[in-house]
Amino acid sequence: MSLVIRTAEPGDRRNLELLLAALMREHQARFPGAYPQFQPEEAAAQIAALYAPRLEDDPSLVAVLAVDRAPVGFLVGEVCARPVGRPATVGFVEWFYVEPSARGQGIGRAIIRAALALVRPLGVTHIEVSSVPGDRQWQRRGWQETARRYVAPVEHVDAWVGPEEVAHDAR
Amino acid sequence: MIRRAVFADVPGLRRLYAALVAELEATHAVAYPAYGPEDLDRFTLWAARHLEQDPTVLVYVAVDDESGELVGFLGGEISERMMGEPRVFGSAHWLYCAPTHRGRGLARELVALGVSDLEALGVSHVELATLAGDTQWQARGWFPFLVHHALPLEAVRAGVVERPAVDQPTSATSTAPAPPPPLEAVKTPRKRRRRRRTAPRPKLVAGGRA
Repeated sequence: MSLVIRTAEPGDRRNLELLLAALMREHQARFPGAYPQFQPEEAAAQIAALYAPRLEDDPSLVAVLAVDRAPVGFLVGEVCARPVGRPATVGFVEWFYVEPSARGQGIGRAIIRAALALVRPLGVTHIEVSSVPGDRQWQRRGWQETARRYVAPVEHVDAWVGPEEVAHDAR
Repeated sequence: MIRRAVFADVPGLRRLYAALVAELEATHAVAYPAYGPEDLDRFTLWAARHLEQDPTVLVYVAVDDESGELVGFLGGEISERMMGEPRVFGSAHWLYCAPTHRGRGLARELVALGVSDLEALGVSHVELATLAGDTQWQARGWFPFLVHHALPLEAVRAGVVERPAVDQPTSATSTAPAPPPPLEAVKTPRKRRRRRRTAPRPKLVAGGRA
């Protein structure tokens, strides 16, 4: 077996779609209560369709594939500019996945090395990732938790602020 | 008085934002991202560009009835995610009340006005982010759904240094695609006798723009 790590191209839309769907299925099986909810195949097709044209000429979209006879892993990230706070430019990992049968071979590390080579010239000094609560794999690898996102239904927030009418300037 | 912010509120919002950041830095160790003097200007520019211009930006202010000064604000926006339900959601960025005006229910009034606008727009959920270790929203019944992590690039690089490959699944000959030139070829050793291994942990990150 010889495996190649390469940047994704617009023609890789289907490859990205398959890997995204596999990631989402596995993620939802492991974290069934995860928010937001989505249908893996539908969401994967939609996201791959959005990525594909950008792979042509948008350097802020970083996509790396690991390909054996078929794609077995990938990373997609964005180089983002934050409105306030430093570092102002940051690499945000949106998707990172290695198929179960291909794990334990260093493929994930190779994908990340390739992605780092792409983002470094763009002035990125820090990488950010997100995970669901309870998934501590990144902290075990030395990543620092920086923030936690919460969600509540609007009705819940409404109940919290109280039932009484609030006097305000209704423009 | 609680009302929607207007362009003329930009100087007052700048003052409140500076107070918010100063208070956060005094009470929490905000290691990442870091805030500097230039960020106050960035916030001011953001407010000036979006207030009364961008219908997705929602900013509310609490005004001292006697002095007319702004004493609190709530800022956020209507966001849309690439996929997943709810697709459209309210994203709360800042909620701040001057210490001299706390304990009067101003924050709740700000939130109440924001909620009434969200309901009118058909938004069903609100999201917010807190610093690590700040559990006040969980205590109020909010549900944690995403944890952000950060690491300097060099530390990421150090964590993925090339190491000898471990056992490989058996596979046929290489059919690696030729173009484009590979960034990196992972050379794997010849087929070896397989050992039983425990299932590796899944390596996955799911999320999207938080």
